[in-house]
Amino acid sequence: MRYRLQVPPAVPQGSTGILLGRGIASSLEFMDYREYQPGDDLRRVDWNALARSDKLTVKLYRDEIHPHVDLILDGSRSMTLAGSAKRPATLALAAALIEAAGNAGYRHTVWLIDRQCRQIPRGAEPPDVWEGIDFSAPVNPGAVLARYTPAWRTRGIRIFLSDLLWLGEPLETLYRLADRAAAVHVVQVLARADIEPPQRGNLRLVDSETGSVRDIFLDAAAQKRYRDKFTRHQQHWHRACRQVGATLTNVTAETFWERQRLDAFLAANILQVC
Amino acid sequence: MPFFAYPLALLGLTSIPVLVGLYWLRSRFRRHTVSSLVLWDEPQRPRQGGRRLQRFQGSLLFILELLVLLLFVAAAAKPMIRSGRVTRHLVVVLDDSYSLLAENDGSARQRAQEALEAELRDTPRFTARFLRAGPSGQLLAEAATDLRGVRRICQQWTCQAPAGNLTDALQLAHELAADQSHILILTDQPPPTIPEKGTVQWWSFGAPVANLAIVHAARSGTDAGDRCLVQVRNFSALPAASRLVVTTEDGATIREEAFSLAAGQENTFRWVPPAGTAAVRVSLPDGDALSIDNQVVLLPERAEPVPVRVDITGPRLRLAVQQALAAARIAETGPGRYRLLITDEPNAVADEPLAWTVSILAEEPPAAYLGPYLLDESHRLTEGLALEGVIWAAGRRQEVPGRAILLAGDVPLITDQQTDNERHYVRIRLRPELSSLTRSAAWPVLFWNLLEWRRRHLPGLERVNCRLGDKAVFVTENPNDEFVLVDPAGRQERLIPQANSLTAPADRPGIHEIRSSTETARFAVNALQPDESDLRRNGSGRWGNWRDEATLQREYRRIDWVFLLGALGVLAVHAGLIHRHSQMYRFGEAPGPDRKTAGRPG
Repeated sequence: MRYRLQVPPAVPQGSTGILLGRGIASSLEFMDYREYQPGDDLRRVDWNALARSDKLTVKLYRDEIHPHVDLILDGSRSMTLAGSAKRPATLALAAALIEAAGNAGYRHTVWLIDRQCRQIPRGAEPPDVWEGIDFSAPVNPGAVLARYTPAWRTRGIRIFLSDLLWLGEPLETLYRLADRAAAVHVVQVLARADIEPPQRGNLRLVDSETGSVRDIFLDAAAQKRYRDKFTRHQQHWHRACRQVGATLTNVTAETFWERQRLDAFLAANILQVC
Repeated sequence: MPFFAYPLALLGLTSIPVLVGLYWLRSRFRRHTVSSLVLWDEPQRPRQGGRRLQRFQGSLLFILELLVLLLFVAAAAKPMIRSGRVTRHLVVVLDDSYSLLAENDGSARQRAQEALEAELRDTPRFTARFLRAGPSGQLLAEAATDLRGVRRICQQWTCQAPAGNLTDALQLAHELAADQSHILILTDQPPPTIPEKGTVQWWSFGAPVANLAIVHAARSGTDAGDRCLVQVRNFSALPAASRLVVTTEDGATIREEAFSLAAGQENTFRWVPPAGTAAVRVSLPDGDALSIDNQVVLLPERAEPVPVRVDITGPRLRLAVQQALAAARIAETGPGRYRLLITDEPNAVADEPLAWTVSILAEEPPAAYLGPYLLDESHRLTEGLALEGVIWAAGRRQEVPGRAILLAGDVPLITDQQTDNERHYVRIRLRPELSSLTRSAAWPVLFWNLLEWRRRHLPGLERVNCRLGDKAVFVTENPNDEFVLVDPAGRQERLIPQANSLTAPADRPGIHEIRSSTETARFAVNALQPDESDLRRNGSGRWGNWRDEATLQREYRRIDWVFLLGALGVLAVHAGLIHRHSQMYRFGEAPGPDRKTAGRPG
């Protein structure tokens, strides 16, 4: 089965590589008028209409979308959690999404967040020739993006693959991802061990990022507290994604690796079957 | 001072390693790697709180549980302390022998008194009676009820006795001790047998140290003049060297000699002091552990002859008596006053008031005896008397009065009858013409003993050189006078005559003097006891135990309930902490996160 990347809510126009979205934006193709609202670009004010009706109206133009995908991978160590399928699942997901983008006529660039956000070597080529993806950086991806926001393609689609397990404000990261982007898809790849707490007993927790150690006694109450915190964490990201217009898709690495199915992306209108 | 009635319960302390093991096992953690510690943290909690609280809680709980265990074990061992309401009765036996004066970082006597005071200092109420163990036990009249009284009584503990007869003193202490009394022996030697539990404790404070001592000293008069003899012995396992210095009473040195002795060796020194020398002081001036046996004083023995009257009609016997008297050289047979009458009259009576009488009885029918002879060896007349092979012929017509000194079978051959005024009447059954006695060596020995015995009872001191612990006997012709004894320290003590003699204790080394308005006599006392000078067997330690069941019930009270209450209190604190701990979990303040890693990259 072949998939292609869907541009929500855009319709591809022409074959020059320029796509016009269904949303309102700043392309040259006029779509409609509406009343001026604070914050609107004053360059879009229809001065003629103001002279005629003494009302401030702005012109609305069709959204202009570049057929380009920036795939951003979280290169931190937690993506290679021992005993989990996070790394292969992330790479397989990345390959599948890039393939789907190619099927929809998109070009792509692959970025890796380690100590900074950088393009991987041969990242514009098919996935089987990508180089330099090692998931070994002990970094906070949110903090890296805050310092090193790269020049992603304006009006392009940005796909961010990460486990989102770091301490920080999601909106801060998402604003940077969504800046002048046509669409942002956040794909959270989690291991089962991230979702479900371990069995009860004395645990020496080791942080896969930093190697920090914490000794705890895990009982039913502690397990419940973990689940509650995990749920709050997820809800926090979902809320932030809705706020910036991004989609958030949760993938369990082991499940995806076992079944190799992209149903969640179809359901989220990110992919469609060719 | 508290002690445990059941110390075996302290084996319960082995539970402590079990507790430690439990904690150790509990503190083992399964290693688990997580993507990030973010979700194991409480972001809103301040960073400084949790870690410190967790460690504090864990260690405190462990300490509390440890404390509870200790308290339970202590309670199970039944700790007891002395009750302050019970009066403790104690009989203290003080070894008064002079070996306790040996110096080894302080004397044994000093250490013993300090230990006694320390023991009584912990006793709220006590009554202590004291027995001084010299050659015999002597009860010190006072009883002490406080430490001041104990110190006052211990001032009488001078350790000047030539021996400490602890066996007799212990027997006397048992008689003195009531059912609830304890006996404490303070000495410098280990006990011959370990005292049984209950009544007696034996505390020894001696030390096995080397000592060089004068063990024998004598001064005797001869035809050639005074002669002195001193024996020095090395009581140690190593050779020793020292000097012997002889001085007069004025301090003039008569003799000085360096010598050395092998381990355990004894050396004898003899010399003739200058004519007319009164007291002679002999010393080992280099010093050692025990100083009391390093010096002696010797006074000249008196050589006063015994005035004798011989009133014997038989020529053979008279000749034999006169020859024996002449051989002894201490008899004066001239006319005038006499102190000894030798006669062959059966019922002769001396006309001198202080004269003794020796009556040699030639009775019928004669019988010759060849032995065996039975001698009263405690009598002065039989000293050194050997009658083997002697034919002793005597009659036995009538019973002779007095104490039998020499017998042949059931026939008394010599009797001694003591009459009034300390006079003696000696009767000797003898038929010299049928006997070989007058031609044997026993004949002059018998008369030497007779004269020496009589001479010692002449007016004046019986002996002028006494050993420590002896009694100096002074015979006087003026018993109505008032007599005073002046000891070497100058202290005076009144002496009461018994008949014609008075007895002065020789209980201090040095020169003593007996004074009256008409007479003065001096005698010297010296510490010459090899057993006391030999310190090699001394030792220290404490033996015996007063804490039997009856004593515990009487003098001690249990305090295990204090430990149990303490354990319950600690348990309550422990439960409170556990409760607080669980509450903290319930409200999401559970300890655990290492805040330093929280917020690190995920």
